[in-house]
Amino acid sequence: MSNTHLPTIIHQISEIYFRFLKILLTALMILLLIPVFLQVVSRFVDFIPRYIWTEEIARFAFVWIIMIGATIAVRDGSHFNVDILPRVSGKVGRQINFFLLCAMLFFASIFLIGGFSFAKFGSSQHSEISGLPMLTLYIGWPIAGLSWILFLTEKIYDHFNIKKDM
Amino acid sequence: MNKQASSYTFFTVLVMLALVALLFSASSRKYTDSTLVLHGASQFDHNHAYTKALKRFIELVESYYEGPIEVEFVLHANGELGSEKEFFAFMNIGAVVDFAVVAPSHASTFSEMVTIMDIPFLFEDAEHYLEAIDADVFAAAKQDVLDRADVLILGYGGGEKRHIFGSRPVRNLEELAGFDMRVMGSPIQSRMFQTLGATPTVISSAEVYNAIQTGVIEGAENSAAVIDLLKWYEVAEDVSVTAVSYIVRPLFFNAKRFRTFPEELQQAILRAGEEAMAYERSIEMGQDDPTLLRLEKEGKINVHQFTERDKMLELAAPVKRAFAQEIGAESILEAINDLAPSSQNHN
Repeated sequence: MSNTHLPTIIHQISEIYFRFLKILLTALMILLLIPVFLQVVSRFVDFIPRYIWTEEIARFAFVWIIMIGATIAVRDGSHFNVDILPRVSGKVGRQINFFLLCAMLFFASIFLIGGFSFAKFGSSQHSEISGLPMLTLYIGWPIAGLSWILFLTEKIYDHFNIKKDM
Repeated sequence: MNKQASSYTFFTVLVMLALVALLFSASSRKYTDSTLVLHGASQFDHNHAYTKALKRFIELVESYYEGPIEVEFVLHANGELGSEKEFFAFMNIGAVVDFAVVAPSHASTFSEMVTIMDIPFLFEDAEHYLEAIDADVFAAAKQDVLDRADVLILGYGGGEKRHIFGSRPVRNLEELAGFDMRVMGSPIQSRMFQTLGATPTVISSAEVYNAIQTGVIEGAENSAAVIDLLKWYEVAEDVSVTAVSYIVRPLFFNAKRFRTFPEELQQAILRAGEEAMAYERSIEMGQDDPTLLRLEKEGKINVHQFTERDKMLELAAPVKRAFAQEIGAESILEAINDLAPSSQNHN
């Protein structure tokens, strides 16, 4: 069939979201670097004031870098795998791959569903130094879960779709 | 779009979501037993004052409560259930931990008002501290924690003094000027020590040893017990008796569970909590100065007297007032100041 490799709606959404996350990740890396640099240098140089918000901003940026990084890695396929069985190709290999996708999906669902009560726990808190609502941090868990599910849905679709092709 | 593939995909995702949702609903089911099990948590060993206080608390509840329900206690020492920050989070959620002695700063993300307990120079001396605890000056903060975090404060422990220590002695304000010191990561700590002329830096407690050794900071402030426990005297042998603050460590209780208890058990817990923490204060205050003396005798530290504490308190007063206003704790600060020995001399 000729239409199997045309991008479907889910591929289009994933692609746009993926690019957006990459830009966001780069921005957060810069946001992490500046305060940490400031904080370390201020200990030795007098003309840089010893801000205390640097610590908090760095922590927030770091947490989001992890969540977004993990999301990007799901689509990239760059999460590390540990090979227990020798690599097999053909039908068995495809089934193992499907099992892996399902296991990741299971894990993503835990982040999405469990993340809601986690976010609720954070919603009643404010950070110590800048007074930012802690929800901005805790919401990362359900959002990560949802994003993983989106990218995994794309991968599972490909899995079934390419099978048809063979 | 391939119809069959998309329906397979849809089906797989749906099954996984349903499976996890089912797991979660199964795990949150409440088990009702005839015996009530209460879990206490401490991140220290069985000889530490906090753990001893929890043990006393358990004994007292058992002796005061003579109701029909069987109450069982489990004490998790040595950080079995995590660290203090997690204990507080667990009590807020209403699961795992039912009671623990926790630094008030761990409640600060819920209630700003509670940070009044951590302000330096809040008390003039040990008597002032004890009087303030007896007068229940923190009642408003206690209510705020209950309203915002749903965690109950049963009593207040603490009483240890935090002193400035470092690689050089700090005997007066002149020597404090430009003293590179580590402070805890809350705005009032930085602001206070900056006002006093020191140059504060926020560094994690785990890095204090290295930071002093490598010269990133000259010193910090903490209690004799902590200086001893973490062996900070190895790199910073000059301890200056400054009594920067008298530690306040409340005993917290899981309020979500507390409400489900019968009246008599609640009364027993309230009474036992207060008495157990009075016992905790007596242990801590009894060990504080002797620990300092022992360290000096063993040749591990040099103890220096700070001569201008009155002047330091004067400088601290406006900073305290401004901060109390920010966090809505003016009335607490006023109540504490009214009990101060110096204010009573004026009357």
